[in-house]
Amino acid sequence: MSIGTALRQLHGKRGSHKGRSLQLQMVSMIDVVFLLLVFFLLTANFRSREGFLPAELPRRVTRAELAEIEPLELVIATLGNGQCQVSVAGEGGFVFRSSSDGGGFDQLREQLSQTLQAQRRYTEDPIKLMPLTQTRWDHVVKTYDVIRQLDLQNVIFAVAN
Amino acid sequence: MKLTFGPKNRDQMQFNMTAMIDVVFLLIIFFMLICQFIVRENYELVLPDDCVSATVPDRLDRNAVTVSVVPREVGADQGTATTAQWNGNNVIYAVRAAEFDPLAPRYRQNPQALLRDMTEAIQQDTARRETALVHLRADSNMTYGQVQQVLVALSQAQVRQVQLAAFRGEQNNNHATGNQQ
Repeated sequence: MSIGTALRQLHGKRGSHKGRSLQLQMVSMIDVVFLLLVFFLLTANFRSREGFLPAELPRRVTRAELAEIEPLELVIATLGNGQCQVSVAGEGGFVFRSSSDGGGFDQLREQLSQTLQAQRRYTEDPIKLMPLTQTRWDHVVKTYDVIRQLDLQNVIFAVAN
Repeated sequence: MKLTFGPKNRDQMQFNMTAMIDVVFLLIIFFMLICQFIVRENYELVLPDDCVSATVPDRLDRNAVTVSVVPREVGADQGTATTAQWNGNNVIYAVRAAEFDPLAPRYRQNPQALLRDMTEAIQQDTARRETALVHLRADSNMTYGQVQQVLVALSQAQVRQVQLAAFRGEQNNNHATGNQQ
């Protein structure tokens, strides 16, 4: 046998061996893929895309720092009929009441804007949110949303007793 | 004439079950261990809606730690709690998937321990991440008194960046539920 023939035979053997080892087990793979598909379809629990209101919790501040500018205090309460009440004291103060379905916060934005102008406050001046213990979280967030709309950045959440 | 159904045909009909069963069992074990945690972290709750200034990110920040304030399920086991205790604490706190139940005997005996444990859990989770950012998902029917426990814990854990979860538009009665990521 010549060397050329031997090499060809060897190459042929290797080639056929290689071909067999590369065979893909498609049937089992498709089975597993379908199992995964069914699993995810049955267990998936989709959630609507949520939005976020960024807030910054204050660092520990000294009394002297706090006393520099008196914060504008907003007392937030939930009334028995489900209305939200926001009251602001001082010059240009007001009492806002939402509709019973929790709407009408556009009016709060206008009233708050007028108070800020009356008290000559800037957007970086502190605002203190003072919800009562029993105030619904929904009303706190909606009031905070109004504050964000007015571009007020320095918001403090008071701890209710 | 002789028809040949040789060994070649028998080879082709062979079904490789062993490898498939191996893979299927591996997958089952994997999902049993992993999926519970993913689902438990995302509680079903009603978020505040109609918040115009809420921004909807294209992708959730993977560095954020989710802290949830969810109402206790109606008809859930009251244990040995009195009605007064039950009414005041119809809430479950969760730092990612770790739940904190104010009605657990440990916290009923020592209410301060609840705040301390939540603070520690938040500190541990935020320490592992690049930024200390917290997503606060609280049910809109919870009271401020219930949510402020989390705010105090966040403050004590020295977390400053908090994002309050809310819907930009109306929620249309679709509850916020588990998020598959």
